[in-house]
Amino acid sequence: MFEAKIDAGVLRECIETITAIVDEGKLKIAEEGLKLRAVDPANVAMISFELQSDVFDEFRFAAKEAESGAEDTSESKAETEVGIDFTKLLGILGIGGREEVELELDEHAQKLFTKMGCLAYTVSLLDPSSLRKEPKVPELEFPVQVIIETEEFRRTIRAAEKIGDHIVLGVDGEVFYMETEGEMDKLRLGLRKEQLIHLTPGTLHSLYSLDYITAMSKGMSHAENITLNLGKDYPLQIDFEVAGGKGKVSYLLAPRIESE
Amino acid sequence: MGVSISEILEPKEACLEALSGKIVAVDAYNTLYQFLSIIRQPDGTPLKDSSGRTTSHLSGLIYRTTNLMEKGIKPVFVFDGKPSELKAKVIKARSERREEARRKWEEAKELFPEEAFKYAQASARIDTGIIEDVKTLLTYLGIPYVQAPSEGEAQAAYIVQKGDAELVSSQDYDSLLFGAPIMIRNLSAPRKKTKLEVIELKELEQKHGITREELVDIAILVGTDFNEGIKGIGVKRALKLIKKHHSIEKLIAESAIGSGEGIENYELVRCIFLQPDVNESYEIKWGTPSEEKVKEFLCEEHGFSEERVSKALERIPMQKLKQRRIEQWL
Repeated sequence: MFEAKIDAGVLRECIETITAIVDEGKLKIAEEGLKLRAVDPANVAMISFELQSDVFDEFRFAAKEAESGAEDTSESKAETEVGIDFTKLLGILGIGGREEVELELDEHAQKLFTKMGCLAYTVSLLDPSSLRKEPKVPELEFPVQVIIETEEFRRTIRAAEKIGDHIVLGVDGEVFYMETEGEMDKLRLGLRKEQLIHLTPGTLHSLYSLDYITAMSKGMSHAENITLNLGKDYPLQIDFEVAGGKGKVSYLLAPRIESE
Repeated sequence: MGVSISEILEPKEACLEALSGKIVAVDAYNTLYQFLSIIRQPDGTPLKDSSGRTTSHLSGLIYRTTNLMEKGIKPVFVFDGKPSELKAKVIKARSERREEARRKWEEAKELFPEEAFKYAQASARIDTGIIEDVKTLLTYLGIPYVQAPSEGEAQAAYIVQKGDAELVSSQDYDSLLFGAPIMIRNLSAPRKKTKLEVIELKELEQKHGITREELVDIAILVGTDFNEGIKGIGVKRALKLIKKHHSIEKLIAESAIGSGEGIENYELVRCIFLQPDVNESYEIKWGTPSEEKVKEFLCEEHGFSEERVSKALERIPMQKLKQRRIEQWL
């Protein structure tokens, strides 16, 4: 059983962070809140998403087994997994305006009822077995961490998009830089430590696909700051908060590596 | 064209393989003349597309240049800018010669087909359309080019002096006068019989015990693109004279030459070679070849065989950016 009420804007903001990486995925519902971890179809990027239940105006959840009084009531089972087409859901939420959204899960019928004011929408759930398995938790160590204002980052990505198809993120001493080169043009953003919220000095850089970073930069539009975790020819992890700090998102992006 | 000093040079033979990994500043005009004069049909007609536009230069660029790149040679094309006023006379004479050759070619095509090719070659000319074509294709191929303010060879020599390229590729020895430390001939359009020739300026200077300034004076006496030279003085005599007198000034003062007809502007000419007008803030950057654009331009627009163009493109060694997958870190 799952019933909840949430501000439409907050829900949209959360789902937008997911659709930046995947169209559909398995959402885990538990007493503590919602969770999702998914890899994009090309196996290049991953999202980890967590939303605390107390961001909801109302949040009631009971695991299936407990409800039916089945013998297995171990705590590990106290969560439900539903397959959701997030892109479709986001499209409908976009129509609904800024009212409160009521959510109700019918696990038996595999439907999610959503109600926005007088507009009721029934979402058919996807069969979780048809969806990709949840990826493992990455084991990564990042030598460098940069905290930057989201808008500064997004602006650079928007400009870079017009020039090339990949971008270098790197740290040179106490400067964080983003650099992209196209056939004819070149763009560089360089920020000194004092222009950033935080920077671990170092010397390293990695190259990433702009398609993915562009998508990610849309997903992070509501966050004030983002944390970039960097290495040399290493994945990029971008952490930020959503829903007024009640939600946590991590994007992971595999690098592009130069080879002959 | 260029200066006739070959008799005092001792070029060394080289093989393509030895040039692997080297950046070569290619005299673009010179190379294009070669493409346009060599790449022709048996009766001397240049290659043309279905709308009658000449494509010999594009053919040369896509097939011969990619051949060099396959060997690991990295070309940078250097284009001529505005020619010096002194060269205008030479240019006029050249275009008259070309016009004459074109007339003879037309005649020969009918009367003496075996002669036709020779005249056709001599009638090759470069127009702005050809230059634009070549710059477009170079961009699509990711090959850099530099626009010289004046003489292309001077710019090419400067690029080598600066260390941004290792040798100048040209058929003309002018490159040496412009101060190219090393130059290579027959690179861009090698024919089976012609060997690659490498000439080092330093060796030339040492061998004859002359400086570059003296070499330039020798060239002026013989005649360059910018002056006629003195009638009856060949390079060997010029070498002897300059070795004895060291400069044209002294040569004239010691009246070892007659009236000086043909070298009136020697100070100016010397200046063109020794302090040439070059672009000092050029940029050389290799790009990624765009197969799509190359094919659109060559195959769709100019009727090249898609299969042959594909094969040519495969010869270009590519720095590939490989997208890693996230699993590697999970």
